[in-house]
Amino acid sequence: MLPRLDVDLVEIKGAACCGFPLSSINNLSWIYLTARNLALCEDQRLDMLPLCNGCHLSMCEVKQTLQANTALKEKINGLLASEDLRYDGTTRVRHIIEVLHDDVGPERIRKSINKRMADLKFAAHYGCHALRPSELGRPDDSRNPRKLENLIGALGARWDIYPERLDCCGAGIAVSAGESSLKIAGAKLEKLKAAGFDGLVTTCPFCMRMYDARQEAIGALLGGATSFPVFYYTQLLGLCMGLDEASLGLHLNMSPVDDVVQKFHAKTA
Amino acid sequence: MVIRSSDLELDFIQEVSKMSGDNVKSCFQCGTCTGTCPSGRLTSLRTRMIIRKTILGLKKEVLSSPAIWECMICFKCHEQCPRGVNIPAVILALRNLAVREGMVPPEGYLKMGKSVFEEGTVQPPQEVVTRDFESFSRTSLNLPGLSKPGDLDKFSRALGETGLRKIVGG
Repeated sequence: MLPRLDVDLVEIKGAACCGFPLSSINNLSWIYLTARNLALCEDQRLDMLPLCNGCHLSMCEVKQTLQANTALKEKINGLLASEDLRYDGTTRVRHIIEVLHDDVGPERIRKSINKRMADLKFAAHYGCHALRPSELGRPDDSRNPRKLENLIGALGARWDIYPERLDCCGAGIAVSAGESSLKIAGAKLEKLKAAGFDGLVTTCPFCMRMYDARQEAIGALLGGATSFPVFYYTQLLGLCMGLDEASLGLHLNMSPVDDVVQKFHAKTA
Repeated sequence: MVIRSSDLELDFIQEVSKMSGDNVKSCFQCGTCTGTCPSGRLTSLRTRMIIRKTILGLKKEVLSSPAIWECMICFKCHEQCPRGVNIPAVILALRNLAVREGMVPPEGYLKMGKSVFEEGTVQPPQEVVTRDFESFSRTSLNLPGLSKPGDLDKFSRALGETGLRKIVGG
């Protein structure tokens, strides 16, 4: 979607994991892995666009940590030297919500679409690390974010503020407390369904995995068929640009998105 | 609960404060953290109690507690804390210390660590079965292979030097 809005995407050569989950067992390995990806971007002299909120937070946090701690920065550079890499901390890290909202802008998005999502109402899910910790500078306000709603509105769709909006998807304890993690995700989906939303919209792949890919497991655990459509924002944007469903990967969503897509086509036919 | 002075390790709080870069001691036990905790509603995590025990020096009890692994690192408590304690940073420090003291973390962490050594990622790309029961892989979707370190040996060796190899084995 981004190249259609004049944002060029270049793959980071040699990228590996940001290491965020490993910060729980070995903090230094996380700092090394994140700094390594930043160093690869420095090498290519490019801004970085991590799609996942957790990766984005990792990049921002490690940048701040290494800026404040020169000794640690040199230690990391010692480790990076074996791959001929060097971390200076010059890579600008961007979030997909910032790129879409602050760089491209809702107005430009409104002009770039040829179909509108009238009569569909979506709930925005930012995901924790897109909003918190606020002192690190996150893409939107930690208590009253509005950018994702603005982006949904730019497609002609309706949105509403809901009580669970700023809540976690639960992915953070998928490893240690799997059932609780599914219950946390499921509770939000049930509330949204009851509140009359047509679907949930997110940009974070980690949150997407919880709400979309784990939906069957959530249903099995909660003893009912939790069935609620979950979309990436860019999938809705693509539909409004008139792109076909396969190229938007809509056949890969595990949640029941077909009815919403059909409603959209029926309205815009 | 009876707390014996012989159970208290008074330098524990210094250790945790240094590792988390946080002034944990400024906590005045208001309980806002526990109130905002979305995990604690379903799990054994009682954030305020973890902080209290950490300040007291109940090192063994805190580090062996499953509760420290039940935090989602969602930062809700940190955002609301009237004393500005970075509780997720404290939790991560406690987890690191627990591993350093020989406690075994939830298995998934070890698996993810091993996978990073072998693949560069916490999990190799999976084949998916869609809601219409069709199977897809990156190849069948004409997607390029996932980016990997150019020299996996050099990468793994450097990663091992962080101390991760000793923890995850292999």
